[in-house]
Amino acid sequence: MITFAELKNKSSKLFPAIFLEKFSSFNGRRKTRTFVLWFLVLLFFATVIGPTLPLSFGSAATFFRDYETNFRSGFFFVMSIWLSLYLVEAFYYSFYFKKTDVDFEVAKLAINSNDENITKSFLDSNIGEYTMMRLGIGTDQINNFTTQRQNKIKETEFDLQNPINKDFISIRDYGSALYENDSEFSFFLSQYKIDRDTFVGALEWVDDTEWKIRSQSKWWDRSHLARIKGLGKNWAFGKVYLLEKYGHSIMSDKAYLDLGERWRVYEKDAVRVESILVKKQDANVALVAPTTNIGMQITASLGKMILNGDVLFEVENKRIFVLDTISIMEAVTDSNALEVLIRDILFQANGAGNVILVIPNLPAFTEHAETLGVDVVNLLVDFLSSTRMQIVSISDKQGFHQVLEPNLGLMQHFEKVLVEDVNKNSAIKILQNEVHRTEVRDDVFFTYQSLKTIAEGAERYFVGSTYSDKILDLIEEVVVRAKSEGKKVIEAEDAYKIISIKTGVPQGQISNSEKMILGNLEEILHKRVIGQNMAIDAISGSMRRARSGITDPNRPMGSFLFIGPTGVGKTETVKALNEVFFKNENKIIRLDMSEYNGGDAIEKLIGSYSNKTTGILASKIRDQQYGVLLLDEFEKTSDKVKDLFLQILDEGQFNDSQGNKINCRNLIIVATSNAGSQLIFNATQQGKDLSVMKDEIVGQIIDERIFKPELINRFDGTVLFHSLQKDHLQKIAKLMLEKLNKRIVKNGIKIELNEEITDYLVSIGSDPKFGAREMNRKIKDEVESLIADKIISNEIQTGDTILFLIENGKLNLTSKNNSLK
Amino acid sequence: MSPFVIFPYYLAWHYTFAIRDFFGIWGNMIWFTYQYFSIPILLKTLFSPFKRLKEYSKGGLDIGSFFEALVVNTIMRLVGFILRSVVILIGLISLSISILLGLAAFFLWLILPVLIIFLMITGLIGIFK
Repeated sequence: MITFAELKNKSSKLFPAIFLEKFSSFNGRRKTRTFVLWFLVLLFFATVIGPTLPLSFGSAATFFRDYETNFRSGFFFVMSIWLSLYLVEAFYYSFYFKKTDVDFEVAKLAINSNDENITKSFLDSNIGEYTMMRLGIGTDQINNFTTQRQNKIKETEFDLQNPINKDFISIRDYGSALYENDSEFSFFLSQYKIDRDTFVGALEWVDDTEWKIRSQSKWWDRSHLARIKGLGKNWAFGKVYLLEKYGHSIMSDKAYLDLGERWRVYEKDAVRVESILVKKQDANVALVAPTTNIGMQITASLGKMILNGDVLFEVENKRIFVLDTISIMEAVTDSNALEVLIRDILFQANGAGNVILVIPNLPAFTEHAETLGVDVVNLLVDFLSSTRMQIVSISDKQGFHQVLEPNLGLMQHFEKVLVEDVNKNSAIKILQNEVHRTEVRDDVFFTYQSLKTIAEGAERYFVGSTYSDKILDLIEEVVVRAKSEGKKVIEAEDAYKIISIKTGVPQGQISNSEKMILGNLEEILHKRVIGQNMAIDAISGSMRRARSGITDPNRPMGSFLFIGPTGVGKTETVKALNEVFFKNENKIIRLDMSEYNGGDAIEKLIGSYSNKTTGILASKIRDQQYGVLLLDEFEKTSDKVKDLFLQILDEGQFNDSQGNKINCRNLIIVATSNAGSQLIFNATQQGKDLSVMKDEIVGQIIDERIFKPELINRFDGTVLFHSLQKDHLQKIAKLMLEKLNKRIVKNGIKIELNEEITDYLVSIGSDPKFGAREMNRKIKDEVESLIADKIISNEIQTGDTILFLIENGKLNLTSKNNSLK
Repeated sequence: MSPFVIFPYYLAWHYTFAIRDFFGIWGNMIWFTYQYFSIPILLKTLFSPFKRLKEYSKGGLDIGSFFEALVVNTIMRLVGFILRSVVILIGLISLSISILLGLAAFFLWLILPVLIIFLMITGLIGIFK
């Protein structure tokens, strides 16, 4: 633990710079220096050039001659001021960048704080003010808070409990301490939905920005000087005409460099690649990336680092070329020509002496060349131990494991670098850098929450594509939209809007109509589903949790296993949910799992790498990632498919055959099954409570090895559907007839419902074992056909009301004319 | 607190830490000049052909081709040598200048506080003369 007094003590080492900032801001000093410099330049001309003006200039020439000594003295005086200002700045910089055990902004806060009111001192400081702006909280709200609060945090009540790094007090430590020590302040923040991480994140962002502004003006620093390109660096290296034709130079291609410039996410991976490239021998890298594009970004990052001079000595003068495998394949027709061309390219690149050759998607290239009978790997091996050229191959995991890794002769020359896609936390950091440029260019201001929303949204909703690209696209789109609406401050809600538009998933604040639906979901669903309270309750609760954003973002929105006999409303429940919540019939992805029980079941679902086919599950979810995935007769699918769903339920995603991630995190997954229906049927017949029987029924399903216990546990809920009793069936019959009525009322005909007809339908359309499955068909076959016959024979006319009757066990109807006419 | 409190801190810094910083920056400048003129790499490849341009003899007993290659390769090496030597020479001159300038700046640094006061006083006197 570190007390405030100790913190102050540590901070005193930075006193001079803090003291200077108190009297004059960094920007203010910069402006003053510029102004003084211009004045000095003017005086210089007045002193040196003024007196040399020919007398033909008249009074101006005499003026400068008369006051020559005064101008010269003025020049000396202003010079002394200008020098002083520069010395002051050097003094400031020296302390600002001094290596100490406390962050400069923290030291500034500690030293300048009013001991009686630490939080107010923070809010009044530059960093505090700017942080609150980044959090979207206005000065009025802050003033209200500071004037109305009850307890002020004093120096003695403020301490840093657990600094992350004992040797350095960071702004993160200070922010966390502020948040934790001052409960009134954290409550104030919570009213704006700002939690500890958000507050500290925003604070760190502001701190980083201040640091960067000062670092950027340190032109005398080696990292800045190194960026200036030297003379004659490439005189010692050869030309690569063939590579210029069958490849691209990363270093001189703006499009490629932008790839590296846009995203410094992969800089760490680029450094890993660099550390292999400096090896004495076999300095070749096998980059295994989620996509070829990410691999390219890493090499582009490296290219940028080389251009900036931020690399180790051995890599300093290298040139990176990307082999254009497609144009190579197009340029030749036979194996001989291909072999000669590849060998020539490699020979020339090797001869140049400073080439790093990038081969994108090496597995595909090898396979492609193989169709012409050329062994690319064999050609490469000759050059792999060369010290004059390095090779970086890019492949995805699958290609690497299938094609490259088994080739031990090849792999002994390569070192593998496994790259993971960026995650949310690293993304926020990079977004912070990226956004500064956008802010200057488009004159907008991002709140920290908007960045967080974009980073989280991209993680949750755009699993399939390159994360970095998606995030940048989102930033651009948010800005375009905000500008079109005349907004300058971009908030979380703006980011939510864009994500909603792009995914169809409702985001952000819950609208009033949505609140109505969510609040009364049970009631609304019961309009379509009769009985089955347990199921309706479970699914309603899950939808509310999902929409309020408290569910685990790395799992599907909800997942249920519906167990029960046929015809009791399992599918109907799913349809009802879909209608109410997703408002679109097409949002159900329905798979009859009994079709996926053979050896090729997985291939059918996720596609096949060797046949280059896409799977039905993968392509359907890719097309529509928000909605309901209904897996009918789930027990009938193969064990491998069940294992696939084990992963989907757990991680909310899976890889298709091409290694692309498919996002299932915005789906409600419902698997239905008839397993255990005999037990359920018996229990219902005996009038037992199903919720009491649940363990026994699930236990039997496990005993019969229909589902593994771990699979059942992965579902958010296992829901039992009871078999239908007579009163349920009557209600269902009534419901279906009402639906029919709604349809024919448009033709001016109305049905009058009575018990006779519903009882009749229950008797012909239901079965204790098959539930109400037949009822729909019976209504079509008997009721609808009868009405149709009567309409055609003119026995029913517009404006009639139909009355059903049962005569000798057969359905008939009469009609009466009424006011509908 | 008066802004003048800072003076003793400043003077202490000017003749201690600042001198250390000064040498650091001076070192950076010398390093930069050395790198900018690519002195190490140019020295290492002083006699290599310019941009590795090379003519290959056709082999066998083709005397004409042999001499053609010999002449071209010699010229390439000669061009490379001359260009590199020029750059190295300019580099070395710049290097000496940066060392000398640094030395002058160092002495200037030492007297700078006094110099500023001197400039200020003479300036002020001169303006109102």
